[in-house]
Amino acid sequence: MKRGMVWHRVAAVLFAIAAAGFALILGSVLWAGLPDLTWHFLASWPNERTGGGGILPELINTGVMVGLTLVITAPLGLAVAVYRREYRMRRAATLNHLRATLLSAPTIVVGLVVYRVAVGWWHWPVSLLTGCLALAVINWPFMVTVAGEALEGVPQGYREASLALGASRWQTIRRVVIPASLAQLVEGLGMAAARLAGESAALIVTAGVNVSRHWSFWAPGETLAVHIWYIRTEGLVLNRDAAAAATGVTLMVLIAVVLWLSRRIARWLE
Amino acid sequence: MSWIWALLLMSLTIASGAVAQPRTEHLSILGATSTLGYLRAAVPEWERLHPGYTVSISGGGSVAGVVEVSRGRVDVGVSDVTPQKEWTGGVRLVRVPLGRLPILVIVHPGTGVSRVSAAEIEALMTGRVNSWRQVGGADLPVVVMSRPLASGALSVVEQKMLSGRRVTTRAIVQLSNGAMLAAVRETPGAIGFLESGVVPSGVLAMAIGGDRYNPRNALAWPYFAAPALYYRASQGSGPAADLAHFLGSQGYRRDYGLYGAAS
Amino acid sequence: MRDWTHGGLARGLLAATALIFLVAGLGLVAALFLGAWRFLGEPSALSNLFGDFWDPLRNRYGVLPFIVGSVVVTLGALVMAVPLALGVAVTLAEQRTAGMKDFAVRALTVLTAVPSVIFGWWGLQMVVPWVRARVGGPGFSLLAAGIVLALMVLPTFSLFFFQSLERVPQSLREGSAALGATPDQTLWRVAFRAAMPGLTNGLLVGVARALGETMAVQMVIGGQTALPSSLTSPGATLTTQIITDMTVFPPGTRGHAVLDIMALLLMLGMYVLVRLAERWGSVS
Repeated sequence: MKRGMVWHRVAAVLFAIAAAGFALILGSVLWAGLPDLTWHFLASWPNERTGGGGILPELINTGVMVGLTLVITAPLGLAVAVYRREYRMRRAATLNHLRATLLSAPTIVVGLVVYRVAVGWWHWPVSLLTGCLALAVINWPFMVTVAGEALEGVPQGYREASLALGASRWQTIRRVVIPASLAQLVEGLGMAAARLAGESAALIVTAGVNVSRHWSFWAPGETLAVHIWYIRTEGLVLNRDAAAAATGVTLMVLIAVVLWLSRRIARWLE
Repeated sequence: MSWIWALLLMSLTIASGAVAQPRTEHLSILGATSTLGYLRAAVPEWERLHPGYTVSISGGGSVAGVVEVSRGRVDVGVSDVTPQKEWTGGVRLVRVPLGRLPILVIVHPGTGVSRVSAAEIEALMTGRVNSWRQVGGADLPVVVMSRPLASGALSVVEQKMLSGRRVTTRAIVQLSNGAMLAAVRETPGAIGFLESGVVPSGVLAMAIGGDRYNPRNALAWPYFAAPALYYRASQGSGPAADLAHFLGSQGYRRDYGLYGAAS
Repeated sequence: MRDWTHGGLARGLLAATALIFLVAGLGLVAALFLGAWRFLGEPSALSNLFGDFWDPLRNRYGVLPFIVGSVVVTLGALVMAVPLALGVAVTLAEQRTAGMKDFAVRALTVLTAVPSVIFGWWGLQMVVPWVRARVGGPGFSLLAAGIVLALMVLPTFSLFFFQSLERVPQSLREGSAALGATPDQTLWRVAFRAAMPGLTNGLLVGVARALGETMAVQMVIGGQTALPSSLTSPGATLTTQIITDMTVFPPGTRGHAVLDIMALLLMLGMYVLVRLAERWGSVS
């Protein structure tokens, strides 16, 4: 044994323990969920009366809510990050503190406030769109963070070169800085999508825990993560553990696909 | 390269499209979670009979159900408890009973006790008895499981079963009926209460003071919640009233433990 | 000239967005304050608030048990997760090939995105029975919550620790080795020391994540409102108590004001963590 490697051995052992822990978690979810994960389960409507059925509407709701939230918050987040990074902004420190605090704000708190404002004051119904609003509040600081990191990654020399060639600040941002950071932005978008898809605490109060027969933006929007919470806590049906696990596997596969896809697109952009 | 503007414009279009979408009539139900299973099953049937309507259901508890319907934030409230003046703010509500939902005291089978007196159940739930041996069972610590303050079942248990005394503050709080069942089933020495029309497998239902629950004669069981739907009287014969009365009249309520018509 | 106006318009729009962001963020806090004020304005609100007894139906609003719960669970998660995460980071930083490192970063990133309900589900399935059988008590406990939380924040910690170790210049390590230090000595005296701001930053980010976690903790902690007596006794945290009791107190009631105060306490905690990270963990 090489001299003075004791702590490295300890580290390797700890690494093995951590890896085993995660293998255990993912393995047990996969083990319990895979047998029930059929096309029928994915592509059919839930049937409350028999306790069976599928998760198609939850799947659609998850996609729509995450997608809509990203479409709204991505430009907003980018705009704030660009303004903070590329222009000399007053109160930049305040903005930064606020961003970091909101980033780690418990989502249940966001859910509470959105419920009070949107449902209580504006009289929005508990619905998909109200859920999107909650998700947008959760995601905006995250997008600002991600976009900020992407902008930081662009070498200062690019900006100086562009400005030296006579481009205005805005032209520099549009033609140089953002294209140069695009790959990282796309990856950040993937991370955001993954984070939103797993959100449940804020949505239970704002988007509801059921799905409607008629799909609409104002209809209730239960997502996959909320569905897991529902079956595991409220449902008394017999096969609920299997159903919860199968939904969990679906959600994790969805997240993995989104992350992989964003990575591929980022690679391609690079 | 005006793709940023395109993106912005696109997001605005989608967002405004979402808001300006021809609004289907939307109804919301909010309140006690004890009947969530039944509502989730019955609401789609109503939606099928009423094209153009969507109905959302969200949890929130009995008190919230009454408060939110009184303030006009939701159309139908679900509540296990009788509305009080301070919740409704004087708004007149119409009550549509859903029936009686039996509340069973369930214990882990390992406790060896399936019959207790009224005094014993009180001692167990209020935390005065710490071991099952004291009530003639196994040598196991008593683990009391309760529900959040919002639970209608908790208030029924405290008022009817414990004659007004409170469940011990050392109780483990389970957020929902399903979580309660799973926890009692899996925890040796556990005792809890469940809103259910049948005795689920894996737990014992306690006989209390000579009363034993029998699903075939459910109405004889003295402990039950009486969930009901509430809508504002001003909504008279509107869709909210129609929805509430529809939900109050489906025969298969019994499958979800809701017995009898009125209470 | 036209281009100048174009740029000016863009700048104005960006500034407006940033302003909206500021207003929305502060508005969130303000909305909580507005809700909390109803209770804070009362006489002897603070002594009521920092009591150790929670019985809202009898006007006892002591939130101390939940503060204790939050702190204990977070500390417990840290004690378990930090050594593991350091182990992961050190082992990964040792890897020679860039491909291996890249893969590890991807894997850790994916793991940070595993939804919390999945951790909660796993906690109910395995951790709670394990605690009951091996450690004692009813299983639902601060300890179980700590274990679940430790695994939840482990990828976050590992990722941050790994990245800050990677940022230590190779020349420092080589210099240390050239002076005759063993790999262990280099690790402790050079690498960790040089990476300290990054490690601290990662630590604080992880703490914030642990403190704010709701669903996974709620499913396994037991929700007992009395002051917990040991690690194996059930308890509640600020976040879990908010989700447990928000249903009994609709907005506008006195109880809801207390929930708002609990939310404000959490936000305050987050803000302190952010400032600490800025002070001790500024990496860039």
